[in-house]
Amino acid sequence: MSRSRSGPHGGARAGIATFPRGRIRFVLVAWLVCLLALLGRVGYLQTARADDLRRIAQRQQVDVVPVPASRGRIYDRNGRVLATNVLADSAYAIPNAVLRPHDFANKVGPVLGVPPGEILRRLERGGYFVWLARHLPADVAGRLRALRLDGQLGFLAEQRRAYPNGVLAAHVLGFAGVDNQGLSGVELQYDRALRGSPGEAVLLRDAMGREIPEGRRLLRPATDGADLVLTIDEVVQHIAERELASAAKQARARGGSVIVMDVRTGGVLALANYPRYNPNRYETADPQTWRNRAIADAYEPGSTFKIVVVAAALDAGRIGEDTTLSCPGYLVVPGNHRIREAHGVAHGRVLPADIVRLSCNVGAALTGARLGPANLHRYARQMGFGSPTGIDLPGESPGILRPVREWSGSDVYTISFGQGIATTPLQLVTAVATMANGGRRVRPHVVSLIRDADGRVRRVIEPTPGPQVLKPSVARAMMEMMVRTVTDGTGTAAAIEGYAVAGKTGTAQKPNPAGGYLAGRFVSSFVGIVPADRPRLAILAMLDEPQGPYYGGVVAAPIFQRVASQTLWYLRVPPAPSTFGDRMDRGRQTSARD
Amino acid sequence: MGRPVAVAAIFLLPLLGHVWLEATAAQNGYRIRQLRSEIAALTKQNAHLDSQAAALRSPDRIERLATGRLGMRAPNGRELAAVAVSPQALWPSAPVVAAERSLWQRLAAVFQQQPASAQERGR
Repeated sequence: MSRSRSGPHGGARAGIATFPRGRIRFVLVAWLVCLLALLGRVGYLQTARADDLRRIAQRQQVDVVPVPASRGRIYDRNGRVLATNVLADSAYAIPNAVLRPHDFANKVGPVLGVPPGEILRRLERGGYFVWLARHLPADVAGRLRALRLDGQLGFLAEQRRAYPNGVLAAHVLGFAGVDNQGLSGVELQYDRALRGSPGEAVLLRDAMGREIPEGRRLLRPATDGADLVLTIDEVVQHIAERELASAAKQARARGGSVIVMDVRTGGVLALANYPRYNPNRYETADPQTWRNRAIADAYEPGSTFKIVVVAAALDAGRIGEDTTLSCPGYLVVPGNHRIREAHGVAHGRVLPADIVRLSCNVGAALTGARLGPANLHRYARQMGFGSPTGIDLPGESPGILRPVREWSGSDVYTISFGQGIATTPLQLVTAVATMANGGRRVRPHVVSLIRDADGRVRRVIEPTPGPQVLKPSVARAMMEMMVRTVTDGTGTAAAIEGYAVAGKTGTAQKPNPAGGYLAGRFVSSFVGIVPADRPRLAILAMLDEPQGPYYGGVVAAPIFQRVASQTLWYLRVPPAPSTFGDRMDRGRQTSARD
Repeated sequence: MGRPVAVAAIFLLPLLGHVWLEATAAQNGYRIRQLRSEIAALTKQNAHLDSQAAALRSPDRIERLATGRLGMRAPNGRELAAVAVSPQALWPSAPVVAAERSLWQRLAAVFQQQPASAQERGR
């Protein structure tokens, strides 16, 4: 039989023929068993484990990822960019893929400027993702890439907030954190509008975890944040910051503020503080410099508060413009306290206009006494003291205006010339703007418009007309008195050729937390309106603890003068003869008669 | 011989066509991904350039260049003058608000218009 099957391939066939038949059966059975086992396993996986495995597969292959929304930009009132976004690389490590952690840390640490020990500590957490550094400068990201640590080190492009003008308007803008969340200033106040809402996308990954091309499907699109248009004018802000920094350095002051406000709308054109910080590198700045002093710090206003007292007394009918009071150079008040004039001078008989012009402490104290504590408190509240102005910036202080029941017998006298009350620079400039506005208060604000990413206007922030606090005739009279302060009073350094300037100086000793006042520590200020006859700008200049000359008329009035004159030129406000001349002359004649 | 080849071709050609389409789709997918990454890089560069342009326009920098490099200085009050300019000088195309004309001026205008209209018709 075996012979009959031999032929050209007879050798091979002979081999099969000689293979024991039992072994063949064994192999076949073994194959069959394996096949059945495999079939059984397939059946088990396809039925009993199907749901679990489907879930595992989906987790590995399908990924739902957030689609980040762009943070809205911030512009000045003329559309110039103040805050924008740039893309920056952030570096992460895959700890489970790092085979030699020490080598990795020694290579990466010096590039990032992070101690290798810190890198090792992060790698020890294990897993597939750990941040090494966020928002890297382009050169550092380039040097990291050059290390060629693919598979162990990765990069993600993230949006980073950028403030192209550096320090300019830093206290208004504030800053946003590494996760693009507003942390200060407008960035914090309008965070919800600026942030937008992130979307979601589904993407498919291959077995290696790589994204499959065209495997991305958008579930929900991201809505980019809204843009803000501020009332701040970049140029006016620059003028204010430049003049403030220059004066503060010259006077070696601890700090200072300048506010420029449009009296008609309450829109803040500039809000400058000293010292400044760069919001692009806020984390390296002293946190004390982040504070917006113009709205967060309350100072005793000193003599600038006299205009509030005189205005209140005139409005309440407790004094008239021709009422004369006697100033012998000092005044003994309840509690046997003695109020003195700044240079010990006796002003003699003074009109309300003289109290403002000469900054007469005794005259102001007597005016306050005529007004009475309840009226003084009521008018001060109505003019915005003791409560936040409502400006759309975070961290505003209400100042300090104690309830009348807590006043001592001498408080009505001392508060009348600005001691025993604390106001923020913004409250003071808002009160003066009220006088320039015919006695009607306006709410200060820094954002004028909110529009969506496509440029559609979402909200216009209109000026909010506040209550009528003073009669228009009283407001006008106060303006005249303040003009005289600049023409022939304590504020002559604020005069601007061709423009009528109304203003008031203030020099306040700083209170000692332990009681009394600190010797040689003053807050010098000047607050004014220009042009006084057709008011456009209310400006406050304030220096905290100037060294050397410290009178408001000497150190703060010149800041006002420089900021106001340049701003008027920039805003193309033409000079014009003052309309206050005639009445002021009549006032001088009355004063001379008295 | 011919028949098996034809049968094989009937089965194989669609298969090869499918493979070719899949390969082309994958190739295009990778190309799209590359283009997307180029778009992202250009967007990134654009944002940086926008930010740089805004920084270059900052008033502080312009002032430093003007005073430091060009020797300019801010004018003082005496070097500035406000000049009253009529809206016509600023915007020549602005509509002119005609002043109230007297009866004689209106009558004269009627006679002046008539020869002008005749010239227009003659053209």
